[in-house]
Amino acid sequence: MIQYATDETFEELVSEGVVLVDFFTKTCGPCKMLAVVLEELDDEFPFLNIVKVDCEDCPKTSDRFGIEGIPDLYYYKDGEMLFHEPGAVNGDYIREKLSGILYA
Amino acid sequence: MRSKINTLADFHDAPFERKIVLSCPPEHMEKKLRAVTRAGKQVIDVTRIEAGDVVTLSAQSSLPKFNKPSLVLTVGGGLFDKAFEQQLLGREAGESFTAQAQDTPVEVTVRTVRRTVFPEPSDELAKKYAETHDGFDGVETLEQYKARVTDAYLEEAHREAYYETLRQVVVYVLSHTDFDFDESEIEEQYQEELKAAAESLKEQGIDTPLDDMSDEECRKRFGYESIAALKEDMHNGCEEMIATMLYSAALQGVDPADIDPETFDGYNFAPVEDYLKQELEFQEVR
Repeated sequence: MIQYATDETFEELVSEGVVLVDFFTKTCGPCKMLAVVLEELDDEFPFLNIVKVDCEDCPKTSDRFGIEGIPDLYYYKDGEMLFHEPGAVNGDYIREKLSGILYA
Repeated sequence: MRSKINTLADFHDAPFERKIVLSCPPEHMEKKLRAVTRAGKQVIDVTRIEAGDVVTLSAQSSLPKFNKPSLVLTVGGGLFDKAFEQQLLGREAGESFTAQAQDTPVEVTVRTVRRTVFPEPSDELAKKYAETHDGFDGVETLEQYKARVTDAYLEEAHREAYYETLRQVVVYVLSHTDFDFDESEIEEQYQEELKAAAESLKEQGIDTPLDDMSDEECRKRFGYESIAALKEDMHNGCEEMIATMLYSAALQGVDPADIDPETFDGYNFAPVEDYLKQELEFQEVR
C-alpha cells in the first residue's frame, strides 16, 4: 500500500512491518522514475508498505533525516531504520534488498 | 586540440537500415492502461493460486526459512524462493500438501489466496488520470488516451531510431578513420570526467569517492561489475569523445588546432544528418 506521510504521521507509518520510505519532491525527474518503480512494486507486493514523504510538505521530517539529495529511499522493519539508498535505484535492486529483509 | 585525423572515412560507405517500421508494442500500452486503472484496483479472495497472487501459508520444515506459522508471499514474485513458489501454482485455499525446498520436505497449508484485480479501463478513468498527469491535456475518452500514448511512443521511437542510425554511421566512420591521438589529451579529459562523476554523486547526496566505492555499490549505481571496469570504460569513452570531436570538426571544416573543447560543438554532424534525412524512410504502424 502506498501512503503519503505528514510530519505528524510519519512515525506511526513506519512503526510496523517492512516499510519503504521514499523522500521525493514533485519536480524532481529521478523521483518520478522511482515513483513508477514503486507503483509497480506495490501492484505486485501489496503487503509491502510504501510511505512517500514530499520533502516540501514535510520539512521537519526531511530535516531530521538530513536529506541532501533526492530521491532517497529508506528501508524500515518494525520501526527500525535498516539502511538507505540515495539516488534513483532500479526495481531489481530494490527487490533483491526486500527479499533479504522480508524473509531473512 | 593536439590529437588529429590522418585519414578520414566516408560516411556514405556506412551500412544502415534505410526503412524503419515503428509501432507501439502491446506491453507498453498495457503498462499505460494499468496506470489509468491503478486507482481503482482491488484485492479479492480467490480459491485457486495463479502467478501474481498473494498467499498466506503456514509452513513446517527443518529449514528455518520454511518453518513459519504465517508466511506471506507473492507467487512468482521471486522474493521468497522461486522454486518453492512454482510448487504453489494450482493449489487451493485450505489445501495441505508437501512441497520441497533444497531437497527438504516442507509441510504447507494454504490459508488465504488474494488477487489484485484492476478495473476495465474506461473513458471515466482515462479522463480522471489525464487530469492529474502531464502530457494528457484535453483527453476525455479512453480512445483519446490510447491515441496520445501511441503518439508519444511513436514520437520517441522515431527520435530514438533516427539518433541510433546517426550513431551507427558515426561509429562506422570513427572505426574506419585513422586517428593520431595525443595520450596526454585523453588523460586530461579523463580527469575531467572523474571530477564530473564525483560532483554528480555529491548532488545525489553520495559523498563516497569513486575509488572508495565497493563493487556492489558500483553495480547498483552504474551497472558495472567493478570500479576498475567503470574507469576503463570512462577512459575509452574519453578517446571516443576526442575522436568524435575531431570528426565533427572535419565535417565543419575546422582545424583541430583551433578547437577549444570547452566551447566547441563536438556533436554537430550536419552533413551526415542531411544525408540521413534523405535516405531514411519511417513507416508508422498504428
